[in-house]
Amino acid sequence: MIESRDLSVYFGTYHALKNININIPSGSTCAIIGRSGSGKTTLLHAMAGLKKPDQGAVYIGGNQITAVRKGTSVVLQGASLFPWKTVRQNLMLALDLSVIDPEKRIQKVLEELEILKHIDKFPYELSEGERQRVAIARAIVCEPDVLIMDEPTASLDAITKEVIQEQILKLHKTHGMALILVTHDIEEAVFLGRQIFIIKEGQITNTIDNTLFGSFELKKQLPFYERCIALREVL
Amino acid sequence: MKPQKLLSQVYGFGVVLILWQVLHLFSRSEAVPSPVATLMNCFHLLGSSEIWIHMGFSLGRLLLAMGFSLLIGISVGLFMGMNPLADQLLAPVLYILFPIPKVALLPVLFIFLGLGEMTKITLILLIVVFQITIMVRDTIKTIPHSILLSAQAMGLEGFTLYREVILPCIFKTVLSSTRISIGTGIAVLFFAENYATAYGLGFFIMNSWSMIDYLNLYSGIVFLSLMGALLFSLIDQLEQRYCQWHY
Repeated sequence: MIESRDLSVYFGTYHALKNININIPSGSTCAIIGRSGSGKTTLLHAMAGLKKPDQGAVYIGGNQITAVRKGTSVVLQGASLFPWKTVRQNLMLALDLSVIDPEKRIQKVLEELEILKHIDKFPYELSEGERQRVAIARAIVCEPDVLIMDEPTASLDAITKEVIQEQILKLHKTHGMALILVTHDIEEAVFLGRQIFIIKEGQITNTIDNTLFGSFELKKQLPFYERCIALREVL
Repeated sequence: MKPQKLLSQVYGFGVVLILWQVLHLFSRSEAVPSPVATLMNCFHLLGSSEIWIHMGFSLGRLLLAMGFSLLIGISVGLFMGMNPLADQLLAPVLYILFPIPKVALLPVLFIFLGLGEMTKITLILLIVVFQITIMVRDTIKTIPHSILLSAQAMGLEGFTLYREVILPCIFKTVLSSTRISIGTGIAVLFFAENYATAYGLGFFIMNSWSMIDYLNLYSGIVFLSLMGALLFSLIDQLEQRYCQWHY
């Protein structure tokens, strides 16, 4: 279980997060959706241990998060790969020295994301979508139980976006890790979030149990779009 | 070395020789010997051990000064770049010390460090260490926040953070500042080798001048220039090998 209890974050006098309380079951997925400046990235950083809350706390498996936790992987906005390392070296850095046969693990993950052929390339040699997939590969290569993603498909074209969304869903189903996704894309939230939290001015205003989660067929049907339109009105 | 690189070096050498030849023809003075005669003299000098000893002393002084300057400059630059408080405390001191013409301190250095090698090496160090420090500090400040956040998210800290993230980020800058520092260092070396020594290319050049031996004077300048070109070429090789990436 991942939970935040009365989580508050201030930037100077600005109250960025206001008493956030959310619960996400282990192995589940949730999408945190809100407009720019609503506090969703701050919430993600607090959950990842990148930002210390001023009040309240985040707990994963009952343990309070006070720093970056082993077992939680983060995909930040804009891929954030290390440009001086090749794809292989970027993934290698994410692995513990104790991992047996890291090369095999790296190849398997890259194969899952269909980017194995780029293993020896530098990030600048890849397209935006490929870089994003490498960032996802780097996050899951260490087999985390929690995967946190900050707008993983922002700035991608519609087709690449759809491919990556489907790959994220597939990875979640294969690896079984909890997925926390921050996005401002309503369709992405409906497709990838079993629960959808709507954040407005630093507060969770709505929580939705999303029955339309993760189905490629449902995505093409009217209820999916009705849910998207309904969400747009709430936002 | 790649053929294109070799061609560009041959081109550079050729342009300098042509300009030199033009200067020789127009000056009509013994003070500007022809490049061909000078190069012939260079080959002749290479047959004697004397020039090798002078070159050895100059190269040794320069490399030692550069080595210590890089060590101190990178360490202090890293410290200032990674610690805002250290930057606040050290930057004003650095800004006051940096513009001081350090060559004016040579007599003081002779008094405190004696007439030996330490004085010459320290003089070069005092001049180049500031630019290395400031360039390293400034480069650290330009590392994208997303890279540092990504490193933090991956749990990289301490020595691993420096080895895997910070040092690769500043490596290109270190090479650039080394290039600039070598140019400055050679100029200071020439100055420093005019005092309290009978070895080094600076001494060789000025000694040849005092004996009105212009061929040897120019040969000394050619050797000094080749020494710099060799070091620049080594830095280029390092850059080619380790800096294939860009943001």
